[in-house]
Amino acid sequence: MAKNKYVIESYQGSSMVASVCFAALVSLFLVGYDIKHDVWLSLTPMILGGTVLAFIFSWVLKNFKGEDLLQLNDKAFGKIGGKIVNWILLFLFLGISVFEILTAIYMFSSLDMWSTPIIVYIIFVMIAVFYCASLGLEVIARMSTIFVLIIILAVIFDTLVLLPSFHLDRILPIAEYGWKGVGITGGKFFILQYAMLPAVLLFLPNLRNRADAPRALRIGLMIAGFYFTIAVLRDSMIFGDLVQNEVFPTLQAMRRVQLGTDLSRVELGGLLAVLANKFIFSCIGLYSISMLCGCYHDSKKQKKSLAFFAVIIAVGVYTLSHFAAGANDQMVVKYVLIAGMLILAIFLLTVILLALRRGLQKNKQNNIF
Amino acid sequence: MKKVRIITLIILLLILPFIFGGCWDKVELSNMVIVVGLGVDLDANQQVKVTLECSNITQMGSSGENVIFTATGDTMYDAIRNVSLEVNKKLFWGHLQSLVIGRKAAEQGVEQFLTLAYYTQETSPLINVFIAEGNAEDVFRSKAGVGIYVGKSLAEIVNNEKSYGSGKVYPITLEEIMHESVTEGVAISIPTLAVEQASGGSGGGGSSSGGGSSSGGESSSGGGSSSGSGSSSGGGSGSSGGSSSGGGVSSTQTQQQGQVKVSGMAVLKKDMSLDFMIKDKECLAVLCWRNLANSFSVVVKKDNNMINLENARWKLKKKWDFKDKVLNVTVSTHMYVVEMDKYIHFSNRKDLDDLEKKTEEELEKMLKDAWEKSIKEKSDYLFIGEELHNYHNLEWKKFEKKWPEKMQDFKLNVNVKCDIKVTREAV
Amino acid sequence: MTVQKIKKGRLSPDIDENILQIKETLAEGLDVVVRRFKLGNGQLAVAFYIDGLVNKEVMGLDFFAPLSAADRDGRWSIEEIKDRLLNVGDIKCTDDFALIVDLVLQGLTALFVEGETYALVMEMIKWQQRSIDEPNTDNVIRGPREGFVETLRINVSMMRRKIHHKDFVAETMRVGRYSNTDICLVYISSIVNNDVLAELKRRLKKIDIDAILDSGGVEQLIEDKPYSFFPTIGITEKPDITAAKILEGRVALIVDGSPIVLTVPMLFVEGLQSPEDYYSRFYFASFMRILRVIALFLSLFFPAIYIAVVGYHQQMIPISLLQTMLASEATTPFSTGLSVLLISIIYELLRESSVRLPKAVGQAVSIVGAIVLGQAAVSAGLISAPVLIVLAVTVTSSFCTVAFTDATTILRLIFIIFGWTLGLFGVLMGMFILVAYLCSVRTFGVSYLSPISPFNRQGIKDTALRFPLWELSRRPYDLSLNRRRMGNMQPPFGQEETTDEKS
Repeated sequence: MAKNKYVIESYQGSSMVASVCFAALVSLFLVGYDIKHDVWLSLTPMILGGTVLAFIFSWVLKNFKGEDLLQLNDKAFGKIGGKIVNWILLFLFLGISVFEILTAIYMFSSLDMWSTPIIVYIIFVMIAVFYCASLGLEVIARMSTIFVLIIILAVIFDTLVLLPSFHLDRILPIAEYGWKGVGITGGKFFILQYAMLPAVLLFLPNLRNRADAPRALRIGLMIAGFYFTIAVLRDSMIFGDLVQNEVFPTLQAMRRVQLGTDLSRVELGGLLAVLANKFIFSCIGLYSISMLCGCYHDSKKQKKSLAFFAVIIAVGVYTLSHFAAGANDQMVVKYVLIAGMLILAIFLLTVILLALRRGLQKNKQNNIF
Repeated sequence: MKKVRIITLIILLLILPFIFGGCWDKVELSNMVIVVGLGVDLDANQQVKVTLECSNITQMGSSGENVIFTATGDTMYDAIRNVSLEVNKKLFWGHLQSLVIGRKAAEQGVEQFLTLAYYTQETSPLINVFIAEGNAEDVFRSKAGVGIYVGKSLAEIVNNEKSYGSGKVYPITLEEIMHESVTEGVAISIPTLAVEQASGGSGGGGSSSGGGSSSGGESSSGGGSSSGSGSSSGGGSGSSGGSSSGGGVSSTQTQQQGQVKVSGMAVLKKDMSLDFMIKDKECLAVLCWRNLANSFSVVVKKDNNMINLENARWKLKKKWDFKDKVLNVTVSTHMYVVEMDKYIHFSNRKDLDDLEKKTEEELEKMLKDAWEKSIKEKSDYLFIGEELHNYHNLEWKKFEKKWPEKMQDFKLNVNVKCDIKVTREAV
Repeated sequence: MTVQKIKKGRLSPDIDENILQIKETLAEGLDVVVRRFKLGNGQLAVAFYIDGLVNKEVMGLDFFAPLSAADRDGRWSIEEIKDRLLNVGDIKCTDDFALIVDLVLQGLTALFVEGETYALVMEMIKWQQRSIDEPNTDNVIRGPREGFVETLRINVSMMRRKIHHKDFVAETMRVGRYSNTDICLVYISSIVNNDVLAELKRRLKKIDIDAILDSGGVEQLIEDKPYSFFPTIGITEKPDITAAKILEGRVALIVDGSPIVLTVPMLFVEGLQSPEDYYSRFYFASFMRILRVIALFLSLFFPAIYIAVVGYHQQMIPISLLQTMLASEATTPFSTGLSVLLISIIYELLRESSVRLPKAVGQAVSIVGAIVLGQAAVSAGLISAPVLIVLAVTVTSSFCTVAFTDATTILRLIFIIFGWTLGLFGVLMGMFILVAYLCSVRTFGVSYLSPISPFNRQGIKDTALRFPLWELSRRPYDLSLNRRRMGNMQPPFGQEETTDEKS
């Protein structure tokens, strides 16, 4: 009667992949500080890198059907090594989640609500995130479908109402600050956006139809790419060179909406888009963290670990909020970039080791025959 | 166990808001006053003096009245905070409509007065910015348009200019100024305001360069006192009636209520301080150069007959020849005849051709004059550099550093193509 | 319990012993009739029934009359009485005393004859009941008007009249220690989802309670999420709606004594559907659906968003509106949040009082409410007009989605608190939690948000939009494994003809 709590459909997998990538949007402009209005050009290296990653992930999903990140790590690094790698990944994921939640909270503070203590937001967000994560993978997957829908609708709405504020000449001339900067920023974009992507290997192998996993991943990445292209292009066309001063461009852009006397100042639209993707990202992040610590397929243990890590994240966000100068603290961004780089590096190492082992095995087989 | 947990969670969620959500940032509507207009002046001691035009509505259905508050401080924010000493409610900035900077303050540079409004979430970045020829305070103590609120009326006046105005001013919002301030090479122009004293009664010729307004400024600069200048009479008599001397009814100050009008444009230097002002034809030329002109009229003299033409379409194209240092400007425009001293029956094309030629000459002269003035003032308020920067970036890099001076190296070649139609139903 | 004690008891040929046994079993009652009489041949007989449950007219004509006229020399055996004397349709022959008592309590009549160890139990039921009329809920402009009544038999027959098919099943169960209420599970065996059916039966069997007086009792006992604000079991008062639901693979639960029929499982989208949607044109129906979605959103969040925007994000209100609101708020003594909360509670009070009162008085109450709320409160400056408008819009829209009225009433108050204390942040967080919660709800193994959240392309055609009927060719996903419910139809028949002519 009761369906398996850990099995998800392929479109749900796509939407989870998309929502893992979405959350980076706010941070993109933080790292594009140097190249001002050319930020949108950096989408190209990011998307190119994403395509390469998509191939790597597809290879892993195809060749190791039904094996999740934990098993892959075990395979690549051995039993003990795998556990160590898992814990390292866990801490890196924790760091990124803390950063994403902190930016979401700063967004509300910046919305004329700066005298409300930050701890109130943290408690509320973490209770909500804990509740949602504790509902299990299947519910998170379903939520992410709805959230992705909401986010895309919100983005389309935002873009439509902002059409009169578009100024094509604000993103001209192309590559004014040089292609080198564009490339470097593109790399940062790439790291920020895909930092959490290895987490999808924790749930994509649970697809009902396992052969669909690579396709689900590709579709999810495509949705994310579409969303990023629209949002980044839109925001840089609205802000031009001033984009470097904006921490939450989507939200700030919505201040500019003025359609006659009927529709003005719909910050709610921007808020909804940003908060929704931060929220669903945090849910998936928290869930993946609890999976990484080994509490897997054991709902009681899992809930305990979820609660534990929720508290850890809350404390982390609160501590970080004292050190960070604000949401645009370049120091914090740098740490996040390093964390993201480490995650991707570890993942690539895993893949290389796996490929080598597979090659050895094939050789052995060849020798036998 | 599970039940207990769920119930605890629900109770926790319900109680938490009451414990933690101390409503730190909550503002009750009844404890709020809307600021419609903001004026900034510098007084004799270099202190910033702000003038706030607030909306005061006490009854349902009434359209309210405007109340003016002033205060001084070291910075604009400081002065605004000082206003709260005399206002019993929280100032709400979300619907600020226009920001007026006094001439003296503008001469010191306008940027310091803009960033606050731009980076505050509460205000809209689309507020209109003006420079007063006299004091900003006088502007708000006068009447503008047919509305009650000066700030709102001013914004409406310039916004109407876009679609059906004289074509001699163009609105600029805070957001646009911020963007143009980071655009290289160009000089920003901002609409200017002049206060015409009602008793003065002279026509537009006086151009009222602060003459009347300075007296008003002195009389009211005594302290930060407020005075309601309610428009007790219905707003119908917009055209500065002669008998509006008793306008400020309940105010203790004997102050004449002037009428504010948008007088022209002020051009800023690179450091955002006031450079010079342009009026009438010159403003029109700027708009024509920038392709912003929508509706404007040209008067052409033909055989002792003044013929008035209305513009319907304006398209200006620049073509750069960097080798020979020539700027070719092609203009194509559609015009309609709307008024004549003596009625001419334009029955054949030849008459119209003649008129077209005359008009083309007129427009060419206007564009060339503006170019000359731009070179003379060493200020690129025609936004020629922007196009260079955007579309000819490589060339632009060569004279980026000394742009406005380099303008004179280029030879201007204007070619206007005017297409005139006769209509009887214009205006 | 007493019935169970004598369960093994069989009838005795001695009639007095039987009477004694009856009197032992059943407590002394005004309505328990044990009538001794003699057949035409002098044979002693006893009729045993409950007064008020039997049709005395039929009894006189078809029962007593033939029996007393049955004169002959020998004894009448029980088979002969059954086959030759009685004119009643439904007669059972049994010797199980417990069963006899049970059936008599249901309204049947038992006949004991001297010297026989078997008794006859026959049906001559007639009790006072309501006639079939139009129900108060589920009103339609277009569509059938008949509604269920309190009698199980009639309700089942009404269902049977809608679906003349051999697969139509009406299974009866009995629940309630004292009330012994009949519960009828109505479904179509070739459509129903057997998992759901088995689960439903399992849950019904687990019910061990004194009495079931209304279907509401059953509903609460078999729900998946009894703490949920949202209903997970559908209710209806109309046979046509019930028929439509069981044709989609649901199971209807008809409880004796209740005109409200339960349908299991209920999906979220059902709250947005109305029977009329299927009887009117599809674009109008779709328009109404969209309106209902908006109404649901408004009834949940409108007051909360209003408070959040007014208290924290005033810049989102256009200036002309803000000025009016300022003017009306300037004179009111309470803060916006409190006045919204107060007026919501006052409204609920008024609603409660006017629903319970007799109709004539109820009208008076609603007039007082309208005057007090609408005019006096505003003109006295207690409540500002915008708050009142917000409440009016909210309440009006909450009645557009009748199924969720209970849920929205409570949730609205919670969201008001969120919006009041944390602004839009609180409202959005509440919204997200609500979405998560709705995603997690399952009813009888089917996910509550079914065609939306486990997305189903066919199912989505009947959610926020109602596609033309011929497009809805498949039954809702998860509800039935027998998916196809239509043959191939190409409804624009006019076009078909013209193409024929051409060819």
